[in-house]
Amino acid sequence: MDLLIKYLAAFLGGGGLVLVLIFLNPEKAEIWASKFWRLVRFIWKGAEKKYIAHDIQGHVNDFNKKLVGEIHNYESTAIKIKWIEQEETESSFLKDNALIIRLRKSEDQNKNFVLATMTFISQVVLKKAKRYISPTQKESIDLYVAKKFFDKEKPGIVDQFLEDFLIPKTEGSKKVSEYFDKYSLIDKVGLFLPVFIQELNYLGNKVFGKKREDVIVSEVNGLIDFLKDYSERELGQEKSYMFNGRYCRFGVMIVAKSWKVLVGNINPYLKYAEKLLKVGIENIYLIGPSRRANFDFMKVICSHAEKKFNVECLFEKIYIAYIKVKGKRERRDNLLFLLRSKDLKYHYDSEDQSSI
Amino acid sequence: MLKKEIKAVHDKDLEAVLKNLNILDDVSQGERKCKFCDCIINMTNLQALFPESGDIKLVCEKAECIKKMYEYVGEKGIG
Repeated sequence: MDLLIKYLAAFLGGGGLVLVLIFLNPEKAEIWASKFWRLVRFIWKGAEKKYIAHDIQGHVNDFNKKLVGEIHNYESTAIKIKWIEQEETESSFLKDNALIIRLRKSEDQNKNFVLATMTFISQVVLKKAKRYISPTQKESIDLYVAKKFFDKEKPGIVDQFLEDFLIPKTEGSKKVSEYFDKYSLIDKVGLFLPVFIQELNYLGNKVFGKKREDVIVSEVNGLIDFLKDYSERELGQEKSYMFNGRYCRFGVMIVAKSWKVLVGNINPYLKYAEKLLKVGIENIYLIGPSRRANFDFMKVICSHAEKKFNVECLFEKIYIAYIKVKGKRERRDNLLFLLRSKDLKYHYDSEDQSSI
Repeated sequence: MLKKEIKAVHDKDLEAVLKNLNILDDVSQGERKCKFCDCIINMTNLQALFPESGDIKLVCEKAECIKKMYEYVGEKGIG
């Protein structure tokens, strides 16, 4: 990439290169624009709203881009702040059927930022899956995603988020507080976004003939407890991890033993994958240490699995996990590959639902 | 990439927008209540507004009300 940028700089010159970078990273350009308007607003009043909007849009869209890298099939949704001014009449407002939020003067930008972000997360993230899960599951997920957002994008306003949302909501609901705690444990082993949110994203794409929220809500509870249980595993612990729910079915395959990698025998892994697929598992997450040899070995497992079974390798990523070693968590850089069955069921009619 | 528009009103335009919506007098005179907690809405605590059954509903700035608002607009499909 660095080399490419050097060639582009030589070919296009500095100005051209800036345009290419803006084209490739519009969200970063918005963040820089917001910094510019933030200074200009002291001498030109018109810059005030530009600063507020670009600051929110730039950071939310930047976070969106990160989610694309964490979750396969995530539908990235860019936000745009549309300022309502004097053109809005009572009849047009009633006809539009839209929510209008109030954004305060830029002195209160932290408050604005928290509110606009929560609006975005509640209306966009896992929009489809939210049709099926419980209000406390929804709320706790929104809060945890928001916490991750603020940690990554604007650590300086975590206090505002705590004050306005997190403390009132976790103190006000024991259930939300318990979910939040479980997500935090799942996140410690790095699986909150690439497995938990991933599975909910897949669940949201399923269509059900008759509404069975109760079944799905308890299945999501099971999913959360399953991943919490996984988060408590000790390094090196050999255990099979399979979640075979009614609508959510996946297995975790740990590829970590260095001697197995050295020998290069992929058969035990393929056999295990076959066993999982036979019982209807839709997704297999291969997890192992982020070492070159391991990466190559996992890649070979995936390519053989693709040839042998009706699956496709959709996703690979490096992530940080804090895994228990004699009871204390230690940082490990891990790899994750996602093998997904091609033999999937998306629509469950009422007969299917009663037979499961 | 999908796009989501978030409609917002800035403090400096708030009065004018409420006037156009024919609710400025009500809000100034303390005649409007929060949809979720029934507290009196004023120019300081007003946080959001949305349409419902031909009326304009207002929401105050309390975290609990904002939370209820997200749930409510989600259920009702208000954009």
